[in-house]
Amino acid sequence: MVTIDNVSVKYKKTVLSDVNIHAEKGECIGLLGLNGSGKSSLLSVIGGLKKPASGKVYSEGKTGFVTQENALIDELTAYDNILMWTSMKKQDIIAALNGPELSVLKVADFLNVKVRNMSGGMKKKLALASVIITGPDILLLDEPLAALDIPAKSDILKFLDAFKAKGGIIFIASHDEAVFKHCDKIYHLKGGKMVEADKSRPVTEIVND
Amino acid sequence: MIKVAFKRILAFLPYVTAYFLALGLTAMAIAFFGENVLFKDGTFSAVKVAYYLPNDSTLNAAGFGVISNMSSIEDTVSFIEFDSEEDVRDAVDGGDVSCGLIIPSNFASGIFSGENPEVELVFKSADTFDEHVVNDVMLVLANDLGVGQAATQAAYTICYEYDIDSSDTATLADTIRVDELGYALDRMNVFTYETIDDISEFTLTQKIAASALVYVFHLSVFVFAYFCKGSNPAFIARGKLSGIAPWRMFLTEGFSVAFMMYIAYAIIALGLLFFTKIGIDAMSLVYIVPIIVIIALIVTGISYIFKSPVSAAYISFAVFTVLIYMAGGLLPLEFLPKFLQEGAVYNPLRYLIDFTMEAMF
Repeated sequence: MVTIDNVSVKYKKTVLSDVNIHAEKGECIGLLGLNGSGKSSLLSVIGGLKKPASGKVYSEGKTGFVTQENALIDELTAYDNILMWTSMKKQDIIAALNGPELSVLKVADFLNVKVRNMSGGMKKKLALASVIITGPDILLLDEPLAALDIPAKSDILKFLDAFKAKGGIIFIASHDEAVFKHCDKIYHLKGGKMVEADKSRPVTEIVND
Repeated sequence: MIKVAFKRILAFLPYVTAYFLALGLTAMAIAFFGENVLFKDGTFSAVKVAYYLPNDSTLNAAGFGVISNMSSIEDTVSFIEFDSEEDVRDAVDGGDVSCGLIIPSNFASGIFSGENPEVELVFKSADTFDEHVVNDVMLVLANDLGVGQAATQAAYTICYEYDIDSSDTATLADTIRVDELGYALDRMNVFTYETIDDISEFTLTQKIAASALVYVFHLSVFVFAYFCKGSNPAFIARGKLSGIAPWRMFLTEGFSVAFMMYIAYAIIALGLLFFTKIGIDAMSLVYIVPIIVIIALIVTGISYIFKSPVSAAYISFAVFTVLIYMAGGLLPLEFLPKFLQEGAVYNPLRYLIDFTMEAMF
């Protein structure tokens, strides 16, 4: 469960104010808005990386955050990148990557490839897998489908469904129409305010409101 | 984590090695051949002294030979012989040399005749360092010339008092002078410590080599900014949510950088040890460790402060170039204006260069 209660985010000036969201297990929350509307800032507040100017965030469970910029070391292989953040043994890592949740990302196929030699899609899948492997209950995704080809997008969307199905909570900031089809609620961030959007409307329409 | 840190180091090492080989070798080449640029006469000396010797005696030439070969003088003062007194004066007036010494043409004969002609010292008002050097040079010269003069006078007196043929005076003078000169030579060790602060402890090449090393290590932000991820928001987020404190990331990366710098130093040091005559101390492989750790933490800190590796590289290039210049690292302090020489006292990089020099040689 995640409850965002009257949260305001401020840098030099207020970016977001009076944000209220409640998410239960198995829910996917979509955050929609133009660049600079505060989507990434809100994810940082939910993840506890940034303190809200006011209000509180209540969450139960471990949080995993896949930022827009992948936290990967170019000189290392996929396996070593995963190993950087976990003390799991190699066989456990391989078992987890081939397990029901992560197998859809197909990271085990390029475990010995160096990040520098990976495509954008492979990097995004690896970033996602290396966060998921630590067993988060809440997943924060910032633009997970940006600049990905159709098969890579499809793999990641399948993963989102699997994560939801096992009771995980997802907060996802995106501009991609396909993402929001997998969301249970969509919130539109504009002018420092956040309103719940009608899920049935096209994203382009919501953004132009 | 440590295992992966080592894997990162190994994966990154080729870039670091390439950087240090490219910039380090360039810097060392400048160190080795810098004196040819700085000093046209091909010496290691920072201060040029003009002199004129008349052709009427070899005694003075011998004195000059002894002095100019003293290690403390050789490393700091470059003696340039001129063909005439006027040329010496012109060189001093024109600023080509720090000062000039003119041995009068009747110097040797004047001693025998009792005239006792004096050596003329030509100089202009100079900055602190030059004055210091000139004073030292004069001290050494006065001693040596005084020894020669006293020996000759003693021989002349002996010839006169004991009615010895004056043609034997020179032989007698030489005998006495050898003894006196031996005394002067014994003073070489004293001069080593008394002259020109501590500069004479190291050759200019060694000083430039140490400066170049400090400079290249600081500029390694160019390559290490890409290695250090502590300023990257994605890594900060990742670290925090994985329970890895920022200070732990900083220390892990700082010591990784230090390790890579050490490998680079070992390569450079072994190169200097086996392929040059620069006189590097093999124990420097131990002594250099704390210095490298300090520089590595500075470099890592800079990489952390700036979010973009490019900004970190450019800003540190600008800052460290100025700081190293003001510390006497790019050009010896003796070449800098007086206010910069005085300001260097407050420049921490000056001391870092000194420590590096002490560690290396």
